Amino acid sequence: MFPFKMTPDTVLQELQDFGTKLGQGLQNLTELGEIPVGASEYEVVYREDKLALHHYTPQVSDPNKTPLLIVYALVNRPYMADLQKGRSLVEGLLKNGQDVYMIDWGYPDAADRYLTLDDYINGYINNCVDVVRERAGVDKINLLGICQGGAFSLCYTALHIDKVKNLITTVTPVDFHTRNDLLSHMVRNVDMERLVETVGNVSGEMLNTTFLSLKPFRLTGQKYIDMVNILEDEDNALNFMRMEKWIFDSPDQAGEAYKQFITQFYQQNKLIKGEVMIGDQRVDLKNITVPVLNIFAKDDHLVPVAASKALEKYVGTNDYTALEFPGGHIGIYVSGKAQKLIPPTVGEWLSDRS
Amino acid sequence: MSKNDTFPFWSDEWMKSQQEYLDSWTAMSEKMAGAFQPPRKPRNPWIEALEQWEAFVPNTGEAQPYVQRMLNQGKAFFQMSDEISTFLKLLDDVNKSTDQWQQSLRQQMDEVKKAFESGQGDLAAFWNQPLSAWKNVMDDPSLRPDVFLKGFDPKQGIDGMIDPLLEEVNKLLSAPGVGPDRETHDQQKKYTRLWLDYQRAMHEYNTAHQRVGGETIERLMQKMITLAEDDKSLDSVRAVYDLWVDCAEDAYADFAYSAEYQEVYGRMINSLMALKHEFLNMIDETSSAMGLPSRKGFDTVLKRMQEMRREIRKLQSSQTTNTAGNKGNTDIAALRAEINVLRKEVAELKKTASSSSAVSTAAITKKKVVRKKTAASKSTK
Repeated sequence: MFPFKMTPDTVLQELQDFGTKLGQGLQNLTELGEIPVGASEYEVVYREDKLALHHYTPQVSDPNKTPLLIVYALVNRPYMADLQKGRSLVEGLLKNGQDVYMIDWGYPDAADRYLTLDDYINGYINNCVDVVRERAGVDKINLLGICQGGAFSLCYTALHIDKVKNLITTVTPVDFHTRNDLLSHMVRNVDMERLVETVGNVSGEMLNTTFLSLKPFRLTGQKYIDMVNILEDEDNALNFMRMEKWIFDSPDQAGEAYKQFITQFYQQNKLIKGEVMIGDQRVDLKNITVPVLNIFAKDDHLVPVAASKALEKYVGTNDYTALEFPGGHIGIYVSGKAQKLIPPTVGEWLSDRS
Repeated sequence: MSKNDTFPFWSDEWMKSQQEYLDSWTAMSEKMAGAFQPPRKPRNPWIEALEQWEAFVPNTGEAQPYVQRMLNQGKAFFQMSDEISTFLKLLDDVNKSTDQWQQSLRQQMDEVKKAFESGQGDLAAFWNQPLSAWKNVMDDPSLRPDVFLKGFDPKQGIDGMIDPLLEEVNKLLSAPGVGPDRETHDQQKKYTRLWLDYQRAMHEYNTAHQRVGGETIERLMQKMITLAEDDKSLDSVRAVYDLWVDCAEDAYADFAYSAEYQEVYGRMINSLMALKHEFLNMIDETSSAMGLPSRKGFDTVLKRMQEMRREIRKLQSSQTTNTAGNKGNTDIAALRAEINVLRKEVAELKKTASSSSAVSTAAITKKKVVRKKTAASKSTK
């Protein structure tokens, strides 16, 4: 059978429809003005360099006595976990009785060029943990890491087990050499020493381009063609723009820390070998003996499921729970499915262990 | 259009009418503006409409980059519709009930594939669009705003590279190789070698990508034939576009996961960084010669500053640990520090006493008085 069932009329009609929708969508986009992001109220309770520690206003009368600190990836902004009402991990956690803090990493500049993983983990994160402990009057807090922030949280917990009560990792790479890890495959032969020596801080644009190159035709092409069908509606247009902002608002990476992370984790896969060095301390995941909840996304194109699932083999805890979310790397924070699944699961899991 | 055909695909009427409308609109605009435009190659009217809209719409602030992305993809889609239409028009006279259309399909696809692999044609440009973002980052002129960091356009092929390459090489090597400029000459030669390395790596990277483009066409053709065999159909431009994207992603993924990709990608980045790094060295040398701060010097300061901050953090941390967990040790440390201060003072006093006469003794006395006075004035406050 001849497979092409198009006629000039149907093609013309299709292009006219497409052009009309595209025109309306573009018009809507141009009239949006500023794109508001962030849903939950917070106060800044601690500042250090570019960093700000957010404390979100609890939404239940008797929140969990053990506060929860969220650590997201250095390439993101805090609203990645608090995009808008109804699409916010933070909002969901607050409603589920958690007392939520989050580290806002800010935008590093040239002065931060020589920040190391030691500075981030034993410096910034540790200081924030101490502030949260002091404010809540507890010795140990709950820690929730997102993506690279999850890897940082693993390192932190392994090095400061006395300060962490429960650990939650979401879409967190652990084994960086799994078969489908394209990001890891791409950077394996890159001379990180030379790259960082040359560019200093690594620009957010460069990182985004790398992420987009994992699926270039879907992420830079088809996605926008799909959007033409929904942008006629203003609310949809605004939601789309929030997501775009979410994805492309990427701070530059402090050069030294970036080099250490790519080299030790992506190129040498040292986390699972117990060989990662943070300052002069070696990270051994076996030291993580607190309860661990590991959440990963089934269709994650950035952190393959196998890369996250590997955690079970390497942590020292006897209380390990895994949760596979039916979605992708970004959907896990903003999709409707995620709002129904992730915050209640985390809330319940923490309540059982408080 | 073939009269006997059961698939009278193409008529150009709609395209002509759109083009005429736009041409008359453009002509009127140009007349009003008193501008002269040379004759242009006919283009897709939708793309032109988008470009006109783009020219008139004001900067939309925060939404601007996203609007631009939508525009680019809209244009790409219209461009693809042109390609598909042209392609189907070519199939117009073929007998659709036999395998003849498959032969014709292969013939057409082979042509497209050739154009693709040589980087020619609109379809190749469409393929390159998603990858252009990366190319832009790579060609980032912020460190060297000239031709040196640009990878040559693969459309030019290796032959197209030769002339500009030699021209630049000649410029660099024309400096004298002896005398006071010898070091500069060596540096330029080193820079030229790195530049050639980068051009080679970039060419290799681009060529590999064009090959993946050809592989995409091959897969697309196979999928179209499979659809026909399964009695399935493609009933819209969008359906063809989606099939194209599927094939492109599959072909790209196979390439991206290969050892070859890892190597060409690594070489491309590493050679670019080596080139930029050498250029920064040259700038640093010039800056230093002019008595200006260099990037290297600034980096050293930043590094030392961060190391110092780290030391302070560690000291503070150990101090806190001592205070909280080991008061005895803290007391001992404090006493030791106090003894050291006292020792220094005694040593200074001895030194002064041995090397001075009665005048210095008076000075010490005076100093002591001052101390007493200070103490007295403090106590009265």
